[in-house]
Amino acid sequence: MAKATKEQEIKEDVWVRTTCGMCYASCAMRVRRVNGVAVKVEGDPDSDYGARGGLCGKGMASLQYLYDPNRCNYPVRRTNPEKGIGVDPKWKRISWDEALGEIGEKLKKLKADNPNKLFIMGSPSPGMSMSSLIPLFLWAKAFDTENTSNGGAGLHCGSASHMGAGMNHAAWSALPDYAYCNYVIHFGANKGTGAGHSAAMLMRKAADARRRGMKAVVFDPVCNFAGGKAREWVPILPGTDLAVALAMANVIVNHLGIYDEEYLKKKTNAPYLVKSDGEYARDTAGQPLLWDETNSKSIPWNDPEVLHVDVALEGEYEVEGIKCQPVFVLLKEQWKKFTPQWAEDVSTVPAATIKRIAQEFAENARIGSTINIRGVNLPYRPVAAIQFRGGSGHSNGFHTYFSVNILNHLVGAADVPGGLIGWPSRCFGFPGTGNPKFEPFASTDGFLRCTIWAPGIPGAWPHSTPVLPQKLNLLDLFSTSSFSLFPWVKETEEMYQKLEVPYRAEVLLQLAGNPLMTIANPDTVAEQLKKFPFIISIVTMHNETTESFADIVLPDTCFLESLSCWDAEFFSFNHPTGMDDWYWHIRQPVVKPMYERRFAVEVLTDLADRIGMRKEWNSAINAYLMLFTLAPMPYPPEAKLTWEEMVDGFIKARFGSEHDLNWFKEHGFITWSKKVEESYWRWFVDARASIYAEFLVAQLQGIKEICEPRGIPIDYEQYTPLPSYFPTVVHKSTDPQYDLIAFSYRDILHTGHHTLGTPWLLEASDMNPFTFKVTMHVKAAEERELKDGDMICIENERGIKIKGTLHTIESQHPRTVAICSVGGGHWAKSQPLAKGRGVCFNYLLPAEWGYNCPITSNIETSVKVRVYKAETGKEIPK
Amino acid sequence: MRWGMAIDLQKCVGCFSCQIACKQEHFLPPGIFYAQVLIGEVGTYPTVRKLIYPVLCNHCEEPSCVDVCPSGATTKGDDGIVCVDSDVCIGCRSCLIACPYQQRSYLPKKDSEYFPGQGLTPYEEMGKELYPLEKGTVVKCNFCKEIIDAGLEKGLAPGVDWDATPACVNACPAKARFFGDLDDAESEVSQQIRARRGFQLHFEFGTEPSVYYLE
Repeated sequence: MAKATKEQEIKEDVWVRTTCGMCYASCAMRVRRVNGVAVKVEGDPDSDYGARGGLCGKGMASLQYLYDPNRCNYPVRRTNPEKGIGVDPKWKRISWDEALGEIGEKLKKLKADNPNKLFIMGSPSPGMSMSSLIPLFLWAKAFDTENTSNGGAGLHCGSASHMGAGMNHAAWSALPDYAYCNYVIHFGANKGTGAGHSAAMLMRKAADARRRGMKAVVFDPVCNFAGGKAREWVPILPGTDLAVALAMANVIVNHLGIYDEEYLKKKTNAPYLVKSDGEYARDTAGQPLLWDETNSKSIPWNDPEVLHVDVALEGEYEVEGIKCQPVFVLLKEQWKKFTPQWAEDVSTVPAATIKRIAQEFAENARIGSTINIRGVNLPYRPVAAIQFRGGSGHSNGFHTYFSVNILNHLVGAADVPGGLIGWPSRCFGFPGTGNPKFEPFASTDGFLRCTIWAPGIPGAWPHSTPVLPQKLNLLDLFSTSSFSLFPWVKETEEMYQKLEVPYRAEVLLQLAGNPLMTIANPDTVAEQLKKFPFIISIVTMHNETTESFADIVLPDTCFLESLSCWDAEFFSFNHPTGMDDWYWHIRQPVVKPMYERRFAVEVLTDLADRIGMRKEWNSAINAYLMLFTLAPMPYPPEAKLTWEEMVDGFIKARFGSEHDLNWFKEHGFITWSKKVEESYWRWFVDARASIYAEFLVAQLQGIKEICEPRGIPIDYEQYTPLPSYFPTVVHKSTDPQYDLIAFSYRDILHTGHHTLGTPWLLEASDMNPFTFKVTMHVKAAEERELKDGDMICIENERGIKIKGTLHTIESQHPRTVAICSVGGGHWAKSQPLAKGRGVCFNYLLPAEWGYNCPITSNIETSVKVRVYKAETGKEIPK
Repeated sequence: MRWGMAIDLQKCVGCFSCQIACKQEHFLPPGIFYAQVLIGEVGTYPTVRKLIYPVLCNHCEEPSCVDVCPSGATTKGDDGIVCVDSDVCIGCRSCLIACPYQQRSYLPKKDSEYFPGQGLTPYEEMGKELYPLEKGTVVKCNFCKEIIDAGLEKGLAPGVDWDATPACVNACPAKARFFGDLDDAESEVSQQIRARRGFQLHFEFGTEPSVYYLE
């Protein structure tokens, strides 16, 4: 910008290093401020925590989020006692002191009565992201409530994926090692094309991999993001990825006989001995047994010799008179059922394609080969099979996740160069302090314990035994779930009564997110939200949830106004995979918080003092830090530290007193080099991945004992340890009228429901043929006498109708209807630009018990529909 | 010295960062774009391909816009950049019609707001100070000439040094853009175009673009 200023003298022209918050990736960013005004954002060119200077379109639009005149600026109180969709809350502006005074009093009384009556809900939305989500869950711990929930994020996508990644890769999620991967298969995942996790970092690395010659095969009902960059796009019916994965395992193991024997024997439960009841043969100490072929006897997994003898993958043995076989024998036999032809009938993917891709995957794995990286010889397995929401966001999510994941373990492509790697799973810490240190290790039954799991989220291995629930999210009963359908489904009260839950929530504290629209059918979710007597929302922008249901709304700062030490915490999403260096960033305000906005975690700290739980709050963060270090705790438990002091203390505890907050304000981040044993840790850690879910046998018993006598219906069939095919609830439906499968998927241009009012993104949306449109295959539309541009009605089997503008394309499976970017369909008065654009897909998703994976609670994200020209359809509320 | 660009279509994922970064850089009002991303498809199900074309002014060697400009406002510089001098432009818009790539825009005399009825944001207000645009004239991509020239003065290399490089090039998270001197056979952009057989869009228009695409 070289033109001279006309009137203002430039008193200040500085760059501030921080992190983006337009999605939860938190890419490294720097922002230029001139005379107190933020005028330009760009990626930080000096950091790998992102794209090395690049940002996606959402990040580039940050300034319009910061300066959006529709932002929430003052605390307000609802004066209209009536709540509901379309009801005017009649906001009255109040002071912070009045707001926090009332909230503090209420919560103090509640804590003394029963802290579990506080339900805490968080979501990684723009403006907020991890800076507040992690501390929110620690604050919940400090308050001593077990009742937490996420919005749609997690429930739609993560429940199955995170459990699998935790158990089998010791991390929150797993990615291809792009630096070396030669062949990647996507089952419903947009990694590398702007999807939330590690958005910019992955775009950079995946692009390089494509240039290097990596072949991507993408199974997806629509050819848009991942499909658009694939060497081979393979259309597939939603929810049938499981069938293809099972058939591929059959081809690889039974037809081709290709698998990494050494890996299976040493790194999985493939050699564990299984009895006829499906459970492991165990020794007197309760440890699973393997068969030691060298010495012709059984040996427990934790015997020091187990990795030095040859264990059996085949055969039949007797232990204490009981017949048993290695897991691998059962798996091979099980997979025989799933022929490529059968998989074609289920998924519409041609049998020949399934066979070919399975062969390409297995051959490209180069079993037995090694590579030398920085002087260390490692197994080289340059293939990866990944999935996320599209693949496992279904009622067969558990089996889908593990069946796809198994493909990697069959060929030993796990946490070694080129393969599928947990990111990050292992860290020795910053050299000056040895902090944070986290290591996966062998826990119950020899399986990996993920030590970098998201704080406050359940569902990590080892799972707890199901009990008659004391939690309102029922996650102490459904203990293999990370995210819960409760209290959102219509059967919630019925379930509480059947399960004798002795209390109900009295207060909902909601931080960011728009749960009314993001969970499932908003009308059903509205009924559940109505039941909370008092709702407090801390948001950057009012939305449908706050307008319809909140009692007090507090204005949060957005990421450009916030100070936080939580954005680059290690379970988070942008730590570069492979041998890129470690980077750890702070988030710092580029501009002072405008109006009366206050950073949510600073507000939580204020509340902690008013409630009289400062000691518990400080201790919760101390305890978190203690997970990663043995250094002294940063917070004297009773000390009433300011938020800035807390951030400073946290940073110093991590990186030493010379790297305090002032140091970070100047430098933005700290970096140190990664070790091979951190990135490619698999063969340096003696622990195993699970390819046979034996734990489901006991889990089934536990759940049945509690649910059967109380008449609670559950799809028990899926609680089987062998990878098996289960049609999704969508595929079970038989009404021929509803002949299409509708689904939604994430747009590179938008984050949930939060960016639909950002003008630069709306301009781009208008240019993008997918955003806000309903797409169908050209011929499928013609058959229904529909054409491009028509306003159509999409109706599900329950008679719920939504209307949207049709765009006909070739790049989509003819039996599907797709909505990009979750759709839209906003009606909030506070979001005038978003209002009326697109359509809210989630109206079509039943918020019902049973419309979910029975093991992980992952919601079924697709639905059977029929479409026709619109005369009627859901009108957006006035 | 002839500034030029190459866009790697294999790397580009269609994130629109370049389009928005450009708008941000030049404080462009609603509806005005110097860079756009065109999305399409080709083929018949199931053999289809997604098309993503980031487009911008091609800074042609034989620019049609220069030929038709009656006031001489539009010129092609020695550095290869085609510029519009907003002090000279009379807003006749002949160039809009002449440009076969439709990469020029007329800046309306009437203000429009990104948040209709809600005024201008502090960022937009500052933009009036830092980068005033002349209403009633034609505007277009100038390869961020101000950044390039300021960088050259400091001895930096555009396309190599971050602070001397056009905004869209830096913005790309997939690192899909190359920028540099097309007259220098050893510049990275020249090497990429040679090695990857870079092509120009609508070569048949005959205007000899300085922007190439790599498949």
